[in-house]
Amino acid sequence: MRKMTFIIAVLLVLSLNFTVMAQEVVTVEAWSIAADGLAEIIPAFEEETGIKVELKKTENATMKQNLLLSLNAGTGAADVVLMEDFWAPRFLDTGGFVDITDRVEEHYGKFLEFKWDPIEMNGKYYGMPWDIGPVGLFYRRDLFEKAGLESEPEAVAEMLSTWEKYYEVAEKIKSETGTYMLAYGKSNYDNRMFQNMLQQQNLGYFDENGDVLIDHPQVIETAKYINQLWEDDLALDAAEWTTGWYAAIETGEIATVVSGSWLGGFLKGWIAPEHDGVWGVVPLPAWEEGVRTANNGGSSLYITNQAENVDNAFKFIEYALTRNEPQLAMYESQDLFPSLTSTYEADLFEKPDPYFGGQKQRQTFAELAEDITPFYFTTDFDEAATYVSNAFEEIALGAEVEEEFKDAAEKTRRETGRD
Amino acid sequence: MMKKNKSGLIFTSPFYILFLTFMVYPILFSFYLSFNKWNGVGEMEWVGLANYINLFRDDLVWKSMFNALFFFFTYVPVMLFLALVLAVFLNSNIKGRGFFRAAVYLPNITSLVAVAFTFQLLLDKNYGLLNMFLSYLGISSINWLGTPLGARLSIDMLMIWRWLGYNTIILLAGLQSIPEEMYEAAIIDGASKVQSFFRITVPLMKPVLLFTLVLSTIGTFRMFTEVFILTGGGPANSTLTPVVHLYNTGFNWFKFGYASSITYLIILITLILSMVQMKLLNEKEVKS
Repeated sequence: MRKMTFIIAVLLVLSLNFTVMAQEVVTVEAWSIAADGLAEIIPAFEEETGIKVELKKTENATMKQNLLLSLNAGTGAADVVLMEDFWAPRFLDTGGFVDITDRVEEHYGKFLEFKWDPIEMNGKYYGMPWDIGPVGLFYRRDLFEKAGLESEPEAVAEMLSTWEKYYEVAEKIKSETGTYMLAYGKSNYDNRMFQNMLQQQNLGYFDENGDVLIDHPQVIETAKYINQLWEDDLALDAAEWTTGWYAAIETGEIATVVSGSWLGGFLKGWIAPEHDGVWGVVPLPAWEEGVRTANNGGSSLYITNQAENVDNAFKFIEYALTRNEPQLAMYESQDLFPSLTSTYEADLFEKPDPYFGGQKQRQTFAELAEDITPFYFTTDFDEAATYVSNAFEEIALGAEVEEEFKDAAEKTRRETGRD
Repeated sequence: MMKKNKSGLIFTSPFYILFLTFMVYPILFSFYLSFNKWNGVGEMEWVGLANYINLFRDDLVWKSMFNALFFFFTYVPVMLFLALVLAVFLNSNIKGRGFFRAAVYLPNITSLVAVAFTFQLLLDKNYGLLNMFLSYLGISSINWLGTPLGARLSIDMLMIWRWLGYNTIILLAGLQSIPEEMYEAAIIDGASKVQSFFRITVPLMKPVLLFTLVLSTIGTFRMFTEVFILTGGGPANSTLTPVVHLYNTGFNWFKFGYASSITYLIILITLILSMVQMKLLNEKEVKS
């Protein structure tokens, strides 16, 4: 009997110990470069607060599934998780996250405003903004020169100030050098570039009330512009992240790429590391209305309702994302472009980039970042995006633009129950 | 006697526990789910037959069923015929028989993800090995993955490559059960090799062929990874299979209730097709 009591006592002490220890640990789950970025700043946070951080690095593909399963099971989710903007609303809708409206209030004005949209649901806030991908036009100086055009960023920005002018330059480059202006995949492509073009015009697949915009006249006009590029053979049929696309960039088959600021890191790192001084960056050409940039990609950090100690979890988020030094450290090493506007004053943005022929490319993007307007994802973005991709694939096979987009809009309304 | 049963039950119980937890429970749960609206985490909302009614107006469901039928009628006959020929070949006394038997089965145990990625590289329009090879033969480059027909044929090729060996092994086992005397008798009667293949091998292999045919039917309707990685269901949904559509609906769009109703439709169609096949082939046997 005494032995029994002793064992129980030991177990009790042990379990107490575990709870005490658990309170001092924050678990964090993030994917690839984001996890690598966080890993760099964690030691300083641990030293400052005495809270231990356990970081789990997950593959992007499995992250969503694991998160869904652990929210479903009510156990197994990390305290702090990273969610990409385009799929965050679907997950917030499941109710698995902590409302931190009161805590983020004081930080609201520090971030680019558009970044808060996916974080907010029904007037409540569930996370803190992290990185963005301001969209610019990457162009090849050598191909522009070969076509007898100017190649310095200031001149190119002026030369490509509207999408109309872009089209003229595209024709010129094709006739002078035989090179395509850009790549736009006819299949297996998620149409990010099209989304960026819509965001420029304050459009998207949904408006701010969540109503379907896919058959909006301007959306259809924009799709027609892309179809025209295909028909006049100015756009190479190669979807992003495929063999054909990498090869096209590396061998100079395309003169421009519309992409987020992070493409610079990918070009330097592994797509075309030997292209020193070849590339330049300018703002996107403008439509009749709207701005010369958009946003491509980006994530934020959220606290799940499985967090044992929300205070500690929030302390970590606050440290990582609302201060300049950690944000800048993660930007410099992993190209995670901050949405914290005070960072744009840092010297880093003034540094000329030798890979971009000495252009201050970071500053170009920082200036663009402030112009970004919201893109409303909603809980049904993925489904709508699938229908739009289907429409583009049908168009590439010869279908009518207007008809396909009206079909896609109707299908989205019917399947999601939206207006 | 009672005691004997008890220990038997205990020893077999791990199977039943696993079977109940991971097979029976999900089957019943997804049936229940198919009458609900559910985003995977929150509360379920009972919607009655609404999901099943929605199946009829969802053109992607029917398109995916059509695609599955297309695959079935294109790759299965070719594959089973080749498998039978290969099996006969491997059943004869050739040199290195063991090596060929192993080699023909290898594609089936290779990681499917790696295989699909490799096919993607091989089939690339501009940089793929297949188009390079075709260009030597004077055939201009084919947009394998970017056109509906090309993408469907690509899936057919991948399916044949992967499942040919598997079916060959099953058919080989069947061949070995045919008594040698029959062929000897045929030779004495003056039958040629081709004649004995069509008059002896094929009829006697009917039950085994039926078995592989039913397996292939089920395999076609549950095809997922091949398509998911190689084409993603595109272009223009020309290679979308029922299970890829089911996956998108559930895990990408969070409509788990509706996805469950698609599951039951797939089961129903597979069941009907398998029954029809068995009936057709058995009738023929009776007649002959």
